Amino acid sequence: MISNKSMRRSAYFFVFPLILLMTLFMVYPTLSTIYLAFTKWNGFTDPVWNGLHNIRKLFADNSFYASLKNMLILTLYIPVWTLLPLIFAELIRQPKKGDGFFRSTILIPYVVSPVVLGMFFKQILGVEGVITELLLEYFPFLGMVGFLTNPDMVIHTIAFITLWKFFGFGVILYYGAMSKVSDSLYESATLDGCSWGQRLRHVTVPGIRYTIQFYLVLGFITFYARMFPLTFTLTRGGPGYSSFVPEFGIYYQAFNNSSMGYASTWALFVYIITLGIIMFQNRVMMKD
Amino acid sequence: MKLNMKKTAAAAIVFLCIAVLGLTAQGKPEETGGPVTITVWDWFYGSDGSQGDLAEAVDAAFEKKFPDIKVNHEAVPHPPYDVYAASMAAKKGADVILVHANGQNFQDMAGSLVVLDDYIQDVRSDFAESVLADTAPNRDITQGIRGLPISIQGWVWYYNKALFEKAGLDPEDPPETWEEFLAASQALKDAGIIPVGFGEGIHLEMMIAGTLDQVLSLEEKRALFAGTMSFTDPKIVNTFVKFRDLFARGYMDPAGLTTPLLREMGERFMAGGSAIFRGFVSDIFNWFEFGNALGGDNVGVIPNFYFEPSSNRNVVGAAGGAGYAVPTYSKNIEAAVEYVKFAASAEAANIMLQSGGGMPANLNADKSLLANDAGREVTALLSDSIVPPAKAFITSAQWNALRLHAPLMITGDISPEEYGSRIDQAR
Repeated sequence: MISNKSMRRSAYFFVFPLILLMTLFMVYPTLSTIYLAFTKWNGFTDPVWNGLHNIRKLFADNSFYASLKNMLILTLYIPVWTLLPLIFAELIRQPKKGDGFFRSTILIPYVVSPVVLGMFFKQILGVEGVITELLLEYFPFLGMVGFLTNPDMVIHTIAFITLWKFFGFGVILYYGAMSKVSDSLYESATLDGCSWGQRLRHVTVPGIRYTIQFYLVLGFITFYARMFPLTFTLTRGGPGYSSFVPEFGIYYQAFNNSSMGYASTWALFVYIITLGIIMFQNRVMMKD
Repeated sequence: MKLNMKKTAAAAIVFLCIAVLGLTAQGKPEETGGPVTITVWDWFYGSDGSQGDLAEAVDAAFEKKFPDIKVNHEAVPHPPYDVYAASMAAKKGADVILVHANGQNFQDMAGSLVVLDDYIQDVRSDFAESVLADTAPNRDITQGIRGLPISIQGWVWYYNKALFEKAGLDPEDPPETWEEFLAASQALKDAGIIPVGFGEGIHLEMMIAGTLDQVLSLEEKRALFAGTMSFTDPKIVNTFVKFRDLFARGYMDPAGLTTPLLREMGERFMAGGSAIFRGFVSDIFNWFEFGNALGGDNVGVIPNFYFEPSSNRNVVGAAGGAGYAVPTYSKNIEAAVEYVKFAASAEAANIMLQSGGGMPANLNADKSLLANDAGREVTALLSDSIVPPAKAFITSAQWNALRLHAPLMITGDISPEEYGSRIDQAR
């Protein structure tokens, strides 16, 4: 018989390596970033404490506001991110000819590296790109469509590419979750005269609610903290600040401007904002 | 059960110890006796073309001259400063690093580099003092030289003589004023030739800043650095207007707006895809590479198109280009300094001239080894008309803003004044 005390001791013992690793690789860097956010540091010399200077600089920095604006624009795509794969998954839920092929090819964009995607889309959406030239050929009244050069359009181009990349993953995720919803519910709904839309709303959505929540959170994480590779390869934040996202801003300050301290200030504020949004989102979900 | 727990606990401790040892273990045991091996980090090394060949040739010549020193040359990505920052924080890495000898990033890390003054007394006269000063903190030579440049770097306009001829222009009488430049561009455009090639990522800002080299006096450049002169100054804004006008007239290749790399547009120029191109005097896309691609006597050089009759003519902004430095953490400082000195020596410079790497910083290099006419023209310009480049007086943040907003300015999405104001704000 093992005593409770001995059990507790063993538990602490086994958890200790994990705590050690988390402290080393998560807690320490986080605390370190908070400290560096209040320093002037170029990455080479020792950091010098400069109080609130970086924060004042941040609030006067147009690129920071531009990145927040772009973050908000990307947020507007979250409903599309969530609903479009859901509708497609519902469409392919009923077995049809060619489903296997569709399900296997739809995942291809998801497995392609974002860097490769960025280079690919740069080629086809650039000034001399295939899509740009086809549009010019068949829809000359549109003029030259500046997918990557028009400052009002470029962030939407990035959002569309992101949606396209993750679409297949969303469909497969929802499809997998739907397979666990009992067929009898769908049959009952059909017998009761429910339309396709009503079945989706009253059977599918409640049945896969947690999967939708998970995919929604993934959407926020993707748009807030996974945009760097695509932005870097596609536009490098430009033209101007039109595709500057917070993640890119951190990189830009740290490695282009050699302002590691100021980059840490960016990171701290992006962390606070993202944390706030995720907490708000969780709270809304918990209420549900 | 209790025994199993003890066994599991013991296994966990052993695993933890192995993991800790693995994390803290050194990559290589310390060498005892025998030749010293120095590690050199270099973004040219291993690259295709003249620069990659140059590094290997210099290493071979160095090892022949210093048989007790072996060189372990490793490639680093360009720009390398995040790698260097990490190595300096860890106090571990290469013994010799390649740097941009007149760059802001190099200035930032000056405090972590060995002061070379005492080591280079015997070769100091081989270099122009102004070039050495670029490698000192705040460009003040009394604060200590931190690196030796192997090349001189600057920008000139190169043009394709055959395309000029095709457009009915005299290839031996290139445009000199901005008005003549516009007229030549129109003639090229009429002949179905793209007049000016450019790339938006790392190029457009060079075209603009290169023009500022000539437009601004040294005092004005200093004022720019001190922040007492604004980028909205009419003299600077006028330069921006010129480039916007150039684009609006259709003289600049619009593909440049989504072509991020200098390399892509440089290769287009080498393939005859545009007639005029702002290229380097050293490293890549220089007289040597263009000469090889277009024919040695088919490449012309124009230092700058001047705006006003009173402006300086034939001025080239140039300073120390690539150079080697020694981090203070190096355990082989003596050997590392020998490498730095050799790489910047006349012997290595002659290898550079033959392999096409660039214009050597060493004054004793044998210029008769230059491969083509364009190279000789550039050398003559560097001898007679060199001025400090505006780039050396612009902070990293401003330089990046100059690059980032340039496409918006030339396409008219923002005004030249707004462009200048955004560069000011980045300071």
